[in-house]
Parts: sequence; structure tokens; C-alpha cells
Amino acid sequence: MIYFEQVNHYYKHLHTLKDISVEIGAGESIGIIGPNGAGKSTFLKIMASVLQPREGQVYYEGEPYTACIKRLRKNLGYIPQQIALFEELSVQDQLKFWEKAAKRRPCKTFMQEMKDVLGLEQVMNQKVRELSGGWKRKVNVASGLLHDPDIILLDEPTAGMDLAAKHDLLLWLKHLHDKGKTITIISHDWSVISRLCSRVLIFQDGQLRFDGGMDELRSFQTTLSEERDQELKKILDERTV
Amino acid sequence: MVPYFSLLVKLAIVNRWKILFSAGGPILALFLISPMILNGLNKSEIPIGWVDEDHSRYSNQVRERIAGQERLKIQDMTRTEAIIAIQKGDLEGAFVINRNFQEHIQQGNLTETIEWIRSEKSVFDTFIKEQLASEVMRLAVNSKAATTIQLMKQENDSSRWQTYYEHADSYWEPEPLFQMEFQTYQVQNKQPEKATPLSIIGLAGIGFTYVWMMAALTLLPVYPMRKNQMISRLEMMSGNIFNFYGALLICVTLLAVLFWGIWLLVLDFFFDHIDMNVLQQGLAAIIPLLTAVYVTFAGLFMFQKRNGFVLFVLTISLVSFSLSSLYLVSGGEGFWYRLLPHTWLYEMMFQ
Repeated sequence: MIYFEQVNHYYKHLHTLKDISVEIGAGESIGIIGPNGAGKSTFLKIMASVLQPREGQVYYEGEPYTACIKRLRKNLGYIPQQIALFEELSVQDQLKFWEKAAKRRPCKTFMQEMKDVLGLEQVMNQKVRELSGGWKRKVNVASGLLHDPDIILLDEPTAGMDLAAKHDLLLWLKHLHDKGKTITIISHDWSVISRLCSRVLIFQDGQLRFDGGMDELRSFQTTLSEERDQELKKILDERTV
Repeated sequence: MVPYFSLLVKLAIVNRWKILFSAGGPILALFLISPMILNGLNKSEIPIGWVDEDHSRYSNQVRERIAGQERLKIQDMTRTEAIIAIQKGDLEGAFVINRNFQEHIQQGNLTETIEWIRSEKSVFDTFIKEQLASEVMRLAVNSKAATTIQLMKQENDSSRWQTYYEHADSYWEPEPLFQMEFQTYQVQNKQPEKATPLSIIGLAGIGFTYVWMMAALTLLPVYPMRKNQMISRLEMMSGNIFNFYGALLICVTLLAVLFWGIWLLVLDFFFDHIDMNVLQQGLAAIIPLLTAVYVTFAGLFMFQKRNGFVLFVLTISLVSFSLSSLYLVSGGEGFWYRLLPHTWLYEMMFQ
């Protein structure tokens, strides 16, 4: 569905993505992990068409995605790492605005389902700035996904969430995946990756070091040269519960 | 574009106190400083000292008629006070009505009735001198007429003298003494207009800059929106970002026009009694104001970082203000000056 071909990207003089070639299939749930500054967020931004690759090409359903960017965006929900909400508005006004702004008209049933699972009803009349970090994250996710997109891109959506909130969000994402949505999620939280994803991409220094399923990940871990990948192994060990 | 309008309106309602304070603060400041401005405007009247050593009916009559003239400020004082005030530069000049002024006039003696004390730097007191001379001449001619009639009729009754005097005086008012037919023609070149006081132009200029800066401040939140990827989200959700920027531009335009209108109405309200047309000239100034706002808006796309944008706005504002002031003072001409918003403002205010 989305195919990266020899993609390179630079931030000023820093080579942030190096020759990335990878395909994301429809209905997959992919977890992206790696140390800070490895190129995970840049990869997701390019996939979301927020950034254009400096070199290489990205294809969406066989077409270069710059040629069908409107169609791609209509089918895509991107939740950035930062909380992108209007702090002065109430949750209700916030969702109403995003509902009207979305090019793809949201389905009422879907919206109600989302509100119920995430428990948003209880904070509907509160202003966003009055909410805790966890609630803000929930509203942030809900605002970005209320148009029921087919491709869901999330950049550390559970950062700062308490266990209950995280559970609610994962439950809902799992439900969406079961309905056939494609999910790509960046997280430092191994429990999120292990519960939601069937495929993992590991980025390090702008390179895609690993692309495979959970079982392969374990064997990959053992074959890594301790000298070369000591840092990455440490991260994985820390994340493994 | 409609969702963005409703969003911006909603944000404006939520931030209504900030907006009201932003609009009300300068108006309150204007309210507080307007007495000083008005006081300054009154000071543009010509200060003239009046020393009455005769305290007669005639001397009072002359004083009243002189004081009734526009742009004059008559201050009663003693001869010593008048001399000190002239030496200090507080007075343009002083007129001393000598003792026995009335008696001399009635006798037809015009010499040594009035003394004129002036500084060597005085400019405007000559106009008062002419006014005073004509008033004294009026009294003298009336008196001479009354005395001549009494002499001709060989009368000694002083009440009859007064009747003759008043009869002679009636030729001065209400009809002009010297009557003739006259025709008016429209002058081909520009009509001379009463100049708007500089203090009011200054206030209009401050208002102009204030509205401009308000517009720039309204645009500033775009930078945190870019940073937290709100703009990216808007672009992705709605398919493009042009509607958002379009709605923002329209809102900023409306805000600038509204604030400028309020400022002009307040100026017009406070300085209504002054013969000027700030309102009309200010309405024409909307064009350069909006041009300045749109150039500022373009700065959003020229500068990716907020500091760059702020520096850009401050630079064009300060450069425009300084160069336009220079242009105004020097009376120079040049195409480049026309690019500066303050030049347009000044020209509209002066022409």
C-alpha cells in the first residue's frame, strides 16, 4: 500500500534517513522502535506527507504519493508527538471543530464509539488546558482519528499516560486494527508494541536495522554483534518485560 | 473556510477579555492624556498681557472686545508682572492702558494713551496691536463726533453727549462701517486648509502603529501552531492549509479595520471641538494600514521562526517610522518613500 524506495532525508547537515526501502501493507500493525534521534519520527512524517523526502520516492497504492496526496491524506490519520490542540477550547468544541474541518465526513457511530471507549464523555465540557497530560493525549488521538481513517500513524501516543488511560487507548487501537485499519506506531513502551503490533521496524542512526515479526526480533537480538549494537540491545532489554 | 471562521470567532470569544483590554487599554490611556493634549492645544493661543491702569468704562470695553478675538489669550496683570513675563518669554507682548485713558479719548487726544511692551522676539503681537488700534480709533472717532455735535449745538449736557456717542457708535455695529458689494470666485489652486494640530497627527500615528502591532500579535500564535504540528494536522485533515490562512487573513483584516475605526471614533470624540477632519482622513488611511498588515502577513511565510518574524515586523515598523519622519521634515520626494506605510499616513493627514 505504501512503499518507500531508497528514501533519504536530511535535517540541515544531518543525514536523518539513509536509503530506507520498506513496504507497509494494508491492514498491518507496525511498531517502530529505536533510540532518540534514530529517524523514527522523520520516517513517520514522510509517511504522513508532512515532510517530503529529499531523495528517493514514496508510493501510495502504486502511484508516487505526491501525485495522489489529497487521496492519501483523506485516508490517513496522523497523531504527532506534540499535543496539537486548542488549549482554550472545551473538548466538545475541539472535537466539533475537527469534525467540521475534516475533509472526510466522520461517521456518527464511529465518533460515539470512540468517545465511549476513550471515556471522553466525562470531560466533554472541560477546557483542554484544565485536563491532565493523559487526558490531553486521549483528546489529541481522538481529534486526529475522528474521521475514521484507513491508515493510522501515531508518534508516541501513550507518553505520559497512566495505565488505565493507556489500556483504553490500546483497546481502541486494537479494535480499529481488527476492523482492518493499518496502524503504524512509534513507542518506547514495549508493552504497547508487543500488545498491538505484529511487525517491528528498528531504526538506528537513520538506518532501518531490522524489519520483521516478533519471533524474528528475538533471534535478531541474539545475532546482533554485541560490539556494534550494544546500545540497541540495552534498549531492547530494558523494554522487554 | 467556515469551520476556521467559527474556530477563530470562538477563540476570540474565549479570549474576549484579552481583546477588550487590548482595545480598551489605549483608549483609556488616550482618555487620561487627552486633558494634557487639549491643554497643549490651548497653549497655541497667543498670550498677551493686559495692564489696565485706568479702570474706566472705555478701558473695559476695549479689553472685552480684544478678548473676544479667536486665538488670543488675554492675561490681566500689573506693569511689573508684564515686564517679567515678557523677559521670561511667557508673553508675546503686553499693552498698558495708561491712567486717564478715557479722559484723553473723550478729548480726542490719542497720544500717550496706550503703551506697547514687547520682546524683540515677538512675532504675533503686531496683529493685536492692529486690533487694539482699531478699537481705540473707534472710541476716539465716536467721542470726537459726540463732542463736535455738542459744540455745534452749543450744548453742555453730558447725557446728550452720551446719546451722540452711542449714535456714532451704532455705525460700527451691527452693519460694517464700510459697505460694498462683493463677488466670490472659486480659487483654482488648492484651498488652504486649517492644519491639523501635530499632537493629533501624532495620536493618529500612534493608533496606526498600535493597530498594526495588534495585527502582528494576532498572527504570532501561528508559530507555536507550526511547532506543535497543529498546522500539519490542519493540512492533513482538511486536505489543504489555504483555507486556514485565508480565514486568518480575513479575521486579521476585520480586526485591524475594527480597531482603527474605534481609534478614529475615539479621537474624533475627544477632539471634536477642534476644526479638523481626522475621521475622513483616517478612513483613507485604511489602505496603507491594510497594506502594512498584509506585508506583515507575508512575513509569516518568509520567516520560519518566530524571532525572525518579530524582528521583521519591528524592523519595517521602525525603518518606516524613521524614514517617513525624515521625509516629512525634509519635504523630500522619492518613490521609495511611497513604500513606507507611515509616509502614506502622514500624507493623508496633511493633504
